[in-house]
Amino acid sequence: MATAPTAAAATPAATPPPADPLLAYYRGVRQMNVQIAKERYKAFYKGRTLEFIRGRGTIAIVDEEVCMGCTHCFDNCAFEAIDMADRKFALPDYSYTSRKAVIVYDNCVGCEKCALVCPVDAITMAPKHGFEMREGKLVSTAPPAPPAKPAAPAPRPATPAPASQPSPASPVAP
Amino acid sequence: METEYGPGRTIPHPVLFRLLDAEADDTTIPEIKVEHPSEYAYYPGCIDYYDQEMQFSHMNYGDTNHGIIFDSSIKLLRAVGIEPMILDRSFMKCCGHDQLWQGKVDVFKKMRDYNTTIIQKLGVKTLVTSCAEGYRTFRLDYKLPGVRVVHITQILYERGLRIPPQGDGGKKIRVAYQDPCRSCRQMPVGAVYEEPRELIKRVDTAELVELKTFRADAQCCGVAQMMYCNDKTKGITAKRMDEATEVGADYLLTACPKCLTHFGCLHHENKWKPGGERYAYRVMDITQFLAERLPGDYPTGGNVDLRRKETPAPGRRG
Repeated sequence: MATAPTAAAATPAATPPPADPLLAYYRGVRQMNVQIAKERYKAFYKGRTLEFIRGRGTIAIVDEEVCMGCTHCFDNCAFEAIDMADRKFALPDYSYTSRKAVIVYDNCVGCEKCALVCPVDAITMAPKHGFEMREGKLVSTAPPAPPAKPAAPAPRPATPAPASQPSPASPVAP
Repeated sequence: METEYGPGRTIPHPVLFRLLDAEADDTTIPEIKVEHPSEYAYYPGCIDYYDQEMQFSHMNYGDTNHGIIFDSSIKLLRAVGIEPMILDRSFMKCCGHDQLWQGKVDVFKKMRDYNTTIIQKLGVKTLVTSCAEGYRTFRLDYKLPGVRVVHITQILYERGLRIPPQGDGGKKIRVAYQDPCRSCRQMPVGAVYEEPRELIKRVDTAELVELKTFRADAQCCGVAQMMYCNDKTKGITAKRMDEATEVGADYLLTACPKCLTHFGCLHHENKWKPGGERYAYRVMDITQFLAERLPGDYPTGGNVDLRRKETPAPGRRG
């Protein structure tokens, strides 16, 4: 009976569950309540999902003011790129420790998983050093070096042509 | 951080609030068919929503089981001879406590009018809630003439809940009880101080220990109606949980799902480093504690969600 909550929820007073109708009623209501909560909650939770930039050129950034040390991102990071740091807070008669997430930048690959699981949106994704957002796209700010090489071979096939042109022209010129 | 409810950190994410607000907008009264009409009604409240909130967007992956409050309450009520009608969420709305205390009075009024209509239509004589906030809201903020609103511990005490001897003559377990503010010091009439304590004393293997502050002076669990969670509120929660550590409690009980949530969060958080647990006790609702001491299975099937059979282990899951 507990193995098929959806089936039982559809038929609250199904006959296969216990003969006692009261028991069937309680079970049916309980499972129906769970199902209702799940359905209603899921619809709203999907609407909440935020969009972050992601990819090779991004990195996670933690807002320490907002982070409350729930370790949710720590548990979910697949690259061990998050560590928890203890912060001490002192009150007149009491002191306690709270935790903050710290990004290990060497390991962070910019997968945005931590930003998605963060319950308080303390984590945002930002472009790494050397990258920036231009017109909604993540682009590298150091383009001259890599494109220079593909650009160099492109004229090269053209160089024989100018070289060949002078050769027929050379007899004319002198 | 700017949210739609102003600056600050809203916990839980406004999903739950938006959900409850959207529920309130639809005020058409459905056709209600209750299979087991009774003058006793049990209102479980939003516990299933909290469970979803815990699993989806909160921090302890459902380590704190709220759904068990429903199962335990039914088991306890049946043990004292009450077979209640359940005011389930297919036709009831949230009691509106959070909306009222967040200042969304118009939303609260919609919920109140709707719920009042239904409760009166069903002919409820005694309304049992297992939630401190529901108790306060139904008792003080609703106008329900002819309906007696009771907290579950009150009716169990009245009916003389009997807990069979546990048999274990060894060391007694030390049980601390956190007084929820809504059912205790914020109730001008009908504050529930004695009943939970008396019920705990009826468990022969349990020994009631008082925290440093208790009864009318009891300290808050830290967060009211799941509004904020930050370093300040965490300080209050940690202070309260440290008091339970100081008295050497094995169980920290409460009667309010919000207290349970916040204690559960901090309890879970302290398990992230295995071996370094600061709070070596269990946090649970008083109904769950009492129902575990009764023989027999849960009539509602216990943990309906199969994933809840065992609590998830803390630690990395990436």
